[in-house]
Amino acid sequence: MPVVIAVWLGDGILRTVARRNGGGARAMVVATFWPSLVRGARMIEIHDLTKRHGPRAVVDGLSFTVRPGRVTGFLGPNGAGKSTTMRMILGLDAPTSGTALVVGERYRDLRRPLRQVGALLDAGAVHPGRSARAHLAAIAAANRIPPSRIDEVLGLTGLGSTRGRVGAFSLGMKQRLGVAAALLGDPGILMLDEPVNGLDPEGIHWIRTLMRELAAEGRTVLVSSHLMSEMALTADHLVIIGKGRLIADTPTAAFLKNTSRTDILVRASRPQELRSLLMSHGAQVAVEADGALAVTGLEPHIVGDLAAAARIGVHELTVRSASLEEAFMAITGDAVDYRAGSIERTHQS
Amino acid sequence: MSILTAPTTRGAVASEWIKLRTVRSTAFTVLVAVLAAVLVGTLDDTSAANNYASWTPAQQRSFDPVRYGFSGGFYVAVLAVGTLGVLSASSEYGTGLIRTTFAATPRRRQVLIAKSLVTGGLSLAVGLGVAFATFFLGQNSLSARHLDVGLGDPHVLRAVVGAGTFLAVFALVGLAVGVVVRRSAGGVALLFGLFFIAPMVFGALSDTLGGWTLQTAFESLSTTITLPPDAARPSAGQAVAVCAVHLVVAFAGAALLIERRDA
Repeated sequence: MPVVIAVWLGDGILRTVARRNGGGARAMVVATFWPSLVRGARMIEIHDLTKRHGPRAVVDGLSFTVRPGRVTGFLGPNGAGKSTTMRMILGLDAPTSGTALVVGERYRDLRRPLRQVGALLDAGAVHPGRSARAHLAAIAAANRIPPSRIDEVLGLTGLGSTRGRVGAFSLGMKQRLGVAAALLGDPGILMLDEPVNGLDPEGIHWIRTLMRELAAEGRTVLVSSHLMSEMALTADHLVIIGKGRLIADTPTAAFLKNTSRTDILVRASRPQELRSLLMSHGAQVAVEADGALAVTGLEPHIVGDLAAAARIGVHELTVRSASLEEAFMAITGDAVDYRAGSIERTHQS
Repeated sequence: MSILTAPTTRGAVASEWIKLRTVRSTAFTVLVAVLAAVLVGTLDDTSAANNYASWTPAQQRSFDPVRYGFSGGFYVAVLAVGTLGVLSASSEYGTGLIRTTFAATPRRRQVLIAKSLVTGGLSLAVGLGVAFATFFLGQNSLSARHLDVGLGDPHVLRAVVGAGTFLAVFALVGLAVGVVVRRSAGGVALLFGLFFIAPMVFGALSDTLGGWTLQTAFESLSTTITLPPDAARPSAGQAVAVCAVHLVVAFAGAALLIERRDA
């Protein structure tokens, strides 16, 4: 048993000495005072990150970089590995392989991490018997954050006049408290896991605005969600994962342009003839299960005029646009872990 | 030991102290511990003073004027601070707050050290306060029949300090158990089992093993008479060793697992 103690103490001392005298020490000092001078400043860099629970890979060779000055949406179906990735970034879960760096260092090596990285993982992670102020005071004390900052973040999150114990808070108020805790150290990097959950419309608007403001101040903001429509409104950049693998790492605008394709549904008296006619004019035509045509590549009025000129009766002509959610489902379709028993796909693209 | 003086450890200690004093259960636990130990201890000594004359000579010979006050009520205090120790770790795992704690102090052994200093410090203060209060009030009752002893008498100071310090030992073992088990109910059950069940099991195996449990260690520490009624009772020195072994084993496990496991 003394051996265990000796190893434990020795390990701690060695690590402290390494931290004080090693190459990392100077970088740490520089990073603290002049973040913009250091490579990796205010960035989250993930390289080939993998987390296995037994044979199952929750996160599987994930690599991406989150940059400052914009809101990055971290999207994926439930169980895609978003929360696990965030926990690995914070050093809470140990990766099976690969690295996750913040401001160019492993999170565990940051000296006062809350001053560099603020995170909201689970709004329910509070002791119900404590007041909001006491909850924040305990977090602030751990990283030598001045107590005056507590009132600032309470005001910022609209909890300034809140009294009483956290156990009596609504989910929305707990989310606000979680955001307050994340902002406590005035960090350059913010990571929020599903922050809009439980918020009312006013709260959702508030957090959207807040994230945009924080990004506009030059901070790095990574926000996870399983709601594509929410991210389309909030994020400038999207990192989409499914089954722990990277599916897309793209600006939101480009993603929307590429995936929200529209087509034209046409029912006609002589569909085969119309199909050939439209294809000879450059359209792509798919035949749906009930014989209707799904047309892309031609404007609706041209489709109508061509049919009229050929004296083909048109029974229906509908412009269909894929919703964002459908686009999201299409891109993550093969990567959904928990699929509903039977999904009737009415729309083929 | 640089880990003890690191600024981040000092921050963690400040944080843990805020956490400990801003939940009602702490004040409630301390109140229960103080009231149970002092009131019951004093009542026991008062009844001993009143009934001493009617006891058999054997009973009178085995009467320990210090140990007698550290009986039923003091066990309540022991279990109360033990529960406090377990909860200071397990309640954070239960709510998920532990992730916030580790995010603020990523070198988790600093968190373990901070929790030990705060929980251990509080329970030591409470333990010594309760032990001395129980002792002085009890001796006051016993003095009516001139059965009382003073702190200067043989073994008396050791017994009072030992009884008080045992509360801190038990709270710290509870803390380590809380870190290892990570569940409040399971942690408290394991700690109480260690106190109540282990002596029965080990005692049934052999007297020597029975002497290496926390409950017998507490009894030995708080005893002043040299003729133990129970042959299996270890010496005060061995009792200290028993406490040390429990602390070392519990903390080695906690220090290992707190770093290894995903939070």
